[in-house]
Amino acid sequence: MGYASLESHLPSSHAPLLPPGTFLSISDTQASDGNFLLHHFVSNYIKADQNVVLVGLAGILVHYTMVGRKLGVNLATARTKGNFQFVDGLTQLTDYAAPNKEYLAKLAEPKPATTTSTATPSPPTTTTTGARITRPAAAAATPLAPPKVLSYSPKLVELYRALEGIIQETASKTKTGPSEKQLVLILDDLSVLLNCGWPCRDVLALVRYLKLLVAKFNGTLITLVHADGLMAEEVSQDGLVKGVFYEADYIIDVRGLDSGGSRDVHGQLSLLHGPGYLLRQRSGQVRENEWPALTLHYKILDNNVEVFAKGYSSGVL
Amino acid sequence: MAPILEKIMAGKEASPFILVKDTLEQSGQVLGLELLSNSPSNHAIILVCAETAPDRLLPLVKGNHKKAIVDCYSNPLGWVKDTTSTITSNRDAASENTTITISLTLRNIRKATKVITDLITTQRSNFTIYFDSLSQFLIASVPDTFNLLRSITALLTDTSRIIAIHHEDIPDADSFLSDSSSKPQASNSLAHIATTLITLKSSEALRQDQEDFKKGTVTAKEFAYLTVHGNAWDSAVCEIEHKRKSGKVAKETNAYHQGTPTGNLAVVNVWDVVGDMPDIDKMDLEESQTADPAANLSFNLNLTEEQRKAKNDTVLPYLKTQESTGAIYYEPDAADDFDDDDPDDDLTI
Repeated sequence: MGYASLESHLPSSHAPLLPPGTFLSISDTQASDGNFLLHHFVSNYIKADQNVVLVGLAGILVHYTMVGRKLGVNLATARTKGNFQFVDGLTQLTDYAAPNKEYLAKLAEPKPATTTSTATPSPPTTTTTGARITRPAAAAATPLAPPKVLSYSPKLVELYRALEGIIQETASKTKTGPSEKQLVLILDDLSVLLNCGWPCRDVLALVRYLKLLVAKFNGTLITLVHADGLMAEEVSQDGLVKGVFYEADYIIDVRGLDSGGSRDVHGQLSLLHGPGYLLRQRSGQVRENEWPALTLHYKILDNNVEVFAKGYSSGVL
Repeated sequence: MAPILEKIMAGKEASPFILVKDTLEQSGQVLGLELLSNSPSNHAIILVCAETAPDRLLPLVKGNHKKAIVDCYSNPLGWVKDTTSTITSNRDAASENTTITISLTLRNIRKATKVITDLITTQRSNFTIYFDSLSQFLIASVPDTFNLLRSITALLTDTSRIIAIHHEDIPDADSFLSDSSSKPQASNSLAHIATTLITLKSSEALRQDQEDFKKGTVTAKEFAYLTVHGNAWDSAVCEIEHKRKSGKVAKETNAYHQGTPTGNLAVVNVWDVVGDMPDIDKMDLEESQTADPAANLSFNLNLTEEQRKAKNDTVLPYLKTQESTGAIYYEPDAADDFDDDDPDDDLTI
């Protein structure tokens, strides 16, 4: 179930999942990648048979599948079941990665039946100019549709509409029984959008709209943003991190140790109270000591991540 | 002497524009909402929600005031086509007031200004307008936000006011431009318009400063956007600068304290929250409270009632000359030889 030692430090009301209608913002640095936290949540939600929509802006499906395997989840099976949706936000996000139309026309021709292993990357989907997401013409032949691709659009609103469509589809497909499934939308990561040229204000608006959207579908939003000290001088980066922190209900900050690298401790993980958390406490939505603000240390192992209190690393004890 | 924050909360110090400046480390929302809840009961409250969902903000405004919501939160850039009408009314069961909700986008601040000023004009007086974050407006356009504020202040009367929260640390629209250093900082300009400026600091930050001061060291601070001490629910420190109508500016550092996260706010002396008063301030305080200097003497310097009366009744001999314009009054004595002639008459210069 994800990383056992991290469980006790997460909000407990809906454990091992996050409370629906909330927004968890994870920040990391170059020295300490916060990616490991995303895998934890992917793993937990899938094991609990809930819905996951993972938007890979900085990573490809293969990567998540491999890590998922180490944590004991089979993303391919989850995709077939409809629990897990991967959205490719990496290959065609910018206009210089616009697909070659001739090449795509060739692909769309009927091929001899081949078993496409779900672990290998699938051929690019046919996309028209603009920002619509379409399934490939040969969907019937392949056992599993390749991941939806976000294609370039100068306006970020198109990206929002595309994600809106995907979430609505995912939620409606898996609506079985009286209780609605919980959904988690994971954006890995937001800084990519900034680097691709969209203005800070638009990216923050995207976060706001997505937060409101997933709340309607009994869901939680998780985003990853890069928050290095060195990048703080750049106004858009700085504005994005601060803006996201003001929007967030829960903040987890992953940072390297101030004293430098270490073999036994890879970095520190801080659970932080932002303005959003303070307001929720004021209204009584979170109890006093439900989620105390503290700093922990972590170590990344092959199949697991150990999270422990400062000074309690197994190398020390 | 009651802390000035307490007086402001109770409405004893009038202030048409209260600006609460906060940061990620210490949010001013709780204080702002408390100030809002303490508005006079006959005030209508206009909540301009740009950062917090209206349904989350509304329950935190205590009191039975008539409320109107300007919702800039749900659709900030107009990406969602609102199928419902932009103005909806909800009957608030608890207070039997109808709450109007107006949806607004922040795409065009000038349009937003029109909507808000229209709302105020219909209300005319006896209202408090609350901005839960000016930063969302400032990130769209700095000059338009200032025009918005000036349009509102132009419509204020003795019975209406603005309370606004401003996040000092969020960059405004101008900061993204390459020549931003030559432009005035929005924070400073806002501080000029506001009649009361309350800057929030976390109690822990002040405690750290105190410790450093006592030890004579400066603790090295690792870079962090937010620390684990941020947004403690139990207390916060407020630096207040209040401009009175007379022109006098009162500057004080107070603090507030809460017993439970959902409990009442109590304004306290900052040292109750942060720790011991530093010695230098203790000395200043003692000096200002010095006892009467005529107290511990071996002789009596005080006046009796008779003596005081006699003193007040004395006519000072040359008082008239003190009040004069400069003309010379000459009153000759008996021994003077008064001659009106000019002694220099016979000179032929």
